[in-house]
Amino acid sequence: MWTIFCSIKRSWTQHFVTQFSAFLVMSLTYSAALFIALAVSNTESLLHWWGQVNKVTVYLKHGVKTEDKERFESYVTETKLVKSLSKVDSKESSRRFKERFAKIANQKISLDKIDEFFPEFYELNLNQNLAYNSQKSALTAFVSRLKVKFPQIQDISFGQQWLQKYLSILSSFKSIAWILIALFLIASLIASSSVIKTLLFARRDEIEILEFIGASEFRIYIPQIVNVLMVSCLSFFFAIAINFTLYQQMNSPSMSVFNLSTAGQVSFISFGMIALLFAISFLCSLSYSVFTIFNLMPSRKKAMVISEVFRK
Amino acid sequence: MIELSHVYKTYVAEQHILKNLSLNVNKGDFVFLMGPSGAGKTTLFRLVTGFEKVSSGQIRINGFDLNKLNLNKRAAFRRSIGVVFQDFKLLEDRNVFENVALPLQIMGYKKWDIVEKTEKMIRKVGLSKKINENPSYLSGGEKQRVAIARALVHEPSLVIADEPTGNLDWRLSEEILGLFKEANQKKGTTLLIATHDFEIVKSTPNKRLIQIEKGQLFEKGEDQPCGRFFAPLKEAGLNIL
Repeated sequence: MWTIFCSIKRSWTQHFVTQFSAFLVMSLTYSAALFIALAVSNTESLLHWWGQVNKVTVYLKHGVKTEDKERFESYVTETKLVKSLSKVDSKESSRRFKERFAKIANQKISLDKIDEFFPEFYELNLNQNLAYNSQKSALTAFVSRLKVKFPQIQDISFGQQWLQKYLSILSSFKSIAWILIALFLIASLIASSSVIKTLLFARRDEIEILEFIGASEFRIYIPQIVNVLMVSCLSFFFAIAINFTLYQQMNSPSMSVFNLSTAGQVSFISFGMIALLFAISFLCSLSYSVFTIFNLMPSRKKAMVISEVFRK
Repeated sequence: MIELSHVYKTYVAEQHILKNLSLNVNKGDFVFLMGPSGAGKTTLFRLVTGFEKVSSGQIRINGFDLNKLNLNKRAAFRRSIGVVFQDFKLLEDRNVFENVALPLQIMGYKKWDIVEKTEKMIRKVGLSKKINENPSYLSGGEKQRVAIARALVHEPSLVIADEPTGNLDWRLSEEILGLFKEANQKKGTTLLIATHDFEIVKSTPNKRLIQIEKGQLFEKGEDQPCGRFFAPLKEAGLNIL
């Protein structure tokens, strides 16, 4: 272990610029990947924030009995999903329509004959947890349940069109985001591979001497792999720090453009997501550095020493 | 100890650098390999140290068949011998102590053993005062002594040296040769030394002298012909042996 540490220390002392460049490149790629992960994890809440579904309108059929209405009201009131409800009868419904129609037509018109045309309806104000969070299935399930339980219901409106668009956008965004994350991780792998090749080339004389003296390939090349893993881990933690700073700036009311923090919807990347990305980047760095070194080993190239490998 | 059997080495087709070399070196032999520049000394040196492969033929050293060395055996073979290179091959970023200690570290010696053996060897080659200096601050002769110390520190059974006294004056050459003689006499170390220096050959008793010329070996002995390299010296009345 001490030998590996000394070797890495020597490598950093002698090739500081190369090592530091690799650290910066990997930090940038990891930062970009983590920023996308941050965006993905907040997409749902941001989209909800922009297109709130907090009100459900339940249209009744004509001639629904009073006891049915009472049964509906007591059921809805008892459920914890609904904060409050308000009943709108046919006259009020008609009045609202006339008012809106007048605004559209920009003039007062008489529509007395359609007073009985509009059905009664209920406006249900949903609780925050059902209205804002990602439980789209919970909302649709609740609506379906109402329709089954109360055949007197004509229709229920809760912004279905928005929900469909929302799901479509969310799905596309997530796919593109994961592709971008993968591309950035690949970029970090190419960076780590280039570091190994550059360092081995720069240290070829030293490695050759170690080979001449009888050091095993394991002893010579393990420090290179440990070095890449160390740079990869440091870069990852640095990228987390950058993203956390960015997140705090976004959540700061004085700095935020959208003032998202007041909506309480933006959160930092979950620990599980960070752990997953860290594990992926670590395993990729490990496997790719082993692959690169394995392909540069003199024994693989049928060469006697490393300098012959670079000459070939 | 060393067995060369019908060894050929070719870099360009039909141009043999070494032609049909056969040689046996026994344990405890002190062998000098002499010959003019371009005769194939360095090529032979690289073959017997395992840094190049023969084109045909066989080389066996310390029980290792050099044609059939896998990864681990190659490293084990290199650890079993001591090698002194013409261009020293010292690690420039490590001091004298670290350079000399390298074979012991690679062989997994304990820290205190490494310190004791390394300091003892550095004292022997007369570099105690420069133990913390890096090779870039040493003269050519001092570098050569560090390289020799590194080759002897792990007490290998075979030491192969390419022009070990090439950068030293006569007095230092004698001192260095004294180290080789001591290893040979006290520990039975087998030595194969490629050199141009007739003086050190002359001052060494009980040696074997092998001449290499145009890729072929001639051994100076009672019943063997003297190679062309030695002939003019003999004709001039120089009795070097």
